[in-house]
Amino acid sequence: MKKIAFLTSIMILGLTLSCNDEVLDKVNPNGVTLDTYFNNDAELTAGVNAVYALVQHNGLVSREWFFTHDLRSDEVATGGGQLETPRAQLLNGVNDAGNSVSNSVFTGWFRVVHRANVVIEAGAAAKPGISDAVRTRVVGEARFLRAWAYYELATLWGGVPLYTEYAKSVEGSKARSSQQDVYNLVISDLKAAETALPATYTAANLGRATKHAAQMLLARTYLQLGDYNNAKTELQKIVSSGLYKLVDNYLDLTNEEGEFNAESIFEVVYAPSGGAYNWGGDGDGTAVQEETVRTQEYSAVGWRNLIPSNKILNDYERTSKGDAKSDPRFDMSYWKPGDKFNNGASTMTDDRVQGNASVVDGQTVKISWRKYSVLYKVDNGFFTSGINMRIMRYADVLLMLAECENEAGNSAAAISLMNQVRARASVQMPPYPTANYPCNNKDEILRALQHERFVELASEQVRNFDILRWRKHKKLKTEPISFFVANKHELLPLPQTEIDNNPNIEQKDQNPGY
Amino acid sequence: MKSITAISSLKLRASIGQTGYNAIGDYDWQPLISANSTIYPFGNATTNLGSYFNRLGNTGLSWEETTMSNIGFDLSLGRFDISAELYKRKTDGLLLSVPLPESLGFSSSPLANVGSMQNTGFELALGYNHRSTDFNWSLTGTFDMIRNKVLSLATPNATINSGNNADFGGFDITRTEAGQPIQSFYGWQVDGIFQSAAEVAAANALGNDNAPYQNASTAPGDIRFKDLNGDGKIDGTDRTYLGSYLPKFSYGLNWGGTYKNFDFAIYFQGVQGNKIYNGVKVIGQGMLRLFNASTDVLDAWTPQNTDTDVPRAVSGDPNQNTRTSDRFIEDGSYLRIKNVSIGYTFSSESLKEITNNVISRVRVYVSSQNLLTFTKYSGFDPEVASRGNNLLNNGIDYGQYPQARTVLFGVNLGFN
Repeated sequence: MKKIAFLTSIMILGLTLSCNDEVLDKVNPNGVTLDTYFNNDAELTAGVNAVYALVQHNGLVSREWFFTHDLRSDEVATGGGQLETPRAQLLNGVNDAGNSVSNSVFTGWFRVVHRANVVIEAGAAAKPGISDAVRTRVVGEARFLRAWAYYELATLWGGVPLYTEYAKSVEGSKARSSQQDVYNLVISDLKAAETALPATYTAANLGRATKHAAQMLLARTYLQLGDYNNAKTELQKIVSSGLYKLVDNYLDLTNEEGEFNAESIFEVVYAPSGGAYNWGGDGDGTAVQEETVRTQEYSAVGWRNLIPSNKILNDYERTSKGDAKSDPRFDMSYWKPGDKFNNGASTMTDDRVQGNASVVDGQTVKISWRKYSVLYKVDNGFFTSGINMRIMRYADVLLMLAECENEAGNSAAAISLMNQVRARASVQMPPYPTANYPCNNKDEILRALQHERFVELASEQVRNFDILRWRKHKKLKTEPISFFVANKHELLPLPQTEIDNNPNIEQKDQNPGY
Repeated sequence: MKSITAISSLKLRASIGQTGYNAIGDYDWQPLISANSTIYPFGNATTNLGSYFNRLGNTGLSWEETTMSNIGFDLSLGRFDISAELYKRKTDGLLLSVPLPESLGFSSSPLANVGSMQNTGFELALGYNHRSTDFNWSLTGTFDMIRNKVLSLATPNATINSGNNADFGGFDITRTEAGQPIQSFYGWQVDGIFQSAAEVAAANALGNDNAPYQNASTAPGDIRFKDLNGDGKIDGTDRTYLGSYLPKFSYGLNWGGTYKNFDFAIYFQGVQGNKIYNGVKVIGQGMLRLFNASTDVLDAWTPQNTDTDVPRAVSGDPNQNTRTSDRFIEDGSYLRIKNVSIGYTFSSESLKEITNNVISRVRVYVSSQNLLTFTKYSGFDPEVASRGNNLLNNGIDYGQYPQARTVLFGVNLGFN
């Protein structure tokens, strides 16, 4: 009897203490879950650092981003058969929904949006461990980066899905928004960032987005929309800040020594890492591999996948064409046979340079990109470098402002702004108007301006977006892209994987022509 | 049973059971922060760390459950053995990664119990034993067939695509969808080669807008893909199922025995009716890069060489001739002599005498693995595994290192 009572009580105990499910949901003691993170300044700052890190990776600014822009511009030509197929397809306008280069840019920017959204949500409300100053600045940076991502996405793909918070479940995907809606988010993000961000940083924080970077991106967005008045307002804020000026040496704009100089408004930072380049999917990991592969891809010695087009090479002013002076920016933008590199220890000869030649001024010669090329100081085999990508610089501000002034009918102001850029100490081109670039009316000034932007900002990833907006707002006399088909090539195709995996996007939602 | 003398044993068997499969990583359900796991060099200092969250969790994650039922018999008829079995395996709560649209911005997909799948199969084994004074041998033949069908799939788009690789055409290669076998090949169908500009122009005139049939750079010598939905334009909706990596049936034959002092064994193995996506052919015939082309490209289409299935040689593949299509699907059937060996053993008495009682046994033999393979598959090796053990990339030959053929000559010595 005693035994039975004992067993019964054990069973009753067992029933009442039967396990509940939560006991089984063991939390990883070595991991940090989302809801227990972002509790102090350091954690919130680490969150936004990871957004910059994604912008910097192989799928975006250290490789596929500049390829996608340049391949869609008229600045480049194929370096030869070494150019990989997806890149050649973009260059020839026959890219499709399976194009791995443009698809990785699409994917990359959306991962930027996601990481930025995580930070924006984490910093949305005040928390005891997070100071208001840090919270404001970090959320401002995240909104700047989200705006940049959506500015690129809207301009390259049109109306894309719009996420203002990160997806909480696999069901969270959205349909396409209109291009205007995406630009509207960009504008509101940038206005918020402009207020939240400081104008300058300490040396240890150089590379973070500033108030003026937000203003410049806002100006670029307004220009895509053809809104010259609002663009002008933003650009004037940058000029009147008095923080920026043109640097004397044009070479300092794309070399390592000139990083964060007085002309620089926003840079994506790369740092020497003993030649280590991060090929990984999102560029993550704590091994130090913070270099960019730009030199290896473009420069004279290396893969030389893309070379400058004959069009841009022949657009520089030259005495042989009747210009008063040959533009010194030509020599500072391209490697040519006979050039000294590797601190003067090596000489550029044709046998060092693989691939196609160009025709300049009637001469056939092997010419290669020099901007962002580390060859000027090394000659060591595989060329990666710590040279920062200058996303925004003051000369571009002056030229955009000149364009706005010209649109507003202020010819004198427009010409004077362009001439500021031409008067750079190492350039010193004679001021407009010139014999080949008269400036008697709006059209002539625009022609001079388009020429000036072409040569001043060559291979700095502004040409593609310039062409897109000029074409859209009927500012082009001739179509610069040889393969261009209207109602198709304005936009890139959405990746097939996006159409296949997003229940709210169907094949019929693909961009026209694809 | 004693009354039926021909039958020495007979066993009928049937079973039903359920098993769980929990190939779930530790704490996979949790949305984890990768804390301080990436670097961004503000001010050129490589010590600035970043934290990110790039994968959704799934609190609903549970075991994959398989219910198996089978019925069969084992029968011995003197020298013959027969064993047969019919079975059905139904898997619920199938554990797969949910494919996410790029726009969600996650870097990897959460594991989820996304659906159910059924395998039905039949297995047959036949054996024969021969006994006599000099010649003893046994022969075993096996025959397996299996049919797979996905019954339900609860991912956002009710499909899972897989196999995308930039070097192999840039499109996914398999699709999993309810009603089809798991990870069936999925892509476009080839409709021949455009032989003239007139044919290209005629195709471009199809459809109701001015959009080209494939694209503006399509030229004679390019592949014409089939317009399955008849809208005069080739796009993602013209893809279809192109076959399965699962064989219609597989079989084996094992024959081994001894004749006097000789011993021998031979094992044939084969599969029939499966498809392989020949990625090696994408590389070798696709002309996507300046290297690794196979000699197939010598037969590329030219105005003079029109009777070929290799499209024109053109830089940059403007027509996307290398997109996922049945051009690269091949019959993966094969019959292979997996193992063969023959040996001779010297009698021990004479050996002991000759070697002064040191060596008691000598066997010399020749054996070979993968001696002969009969297949129409043009890649390196029809036995294709899944790259990276991805559950949905079986049967895609991304250039797998082929199995070696070995021939081994050997001597076995036995010492006293």
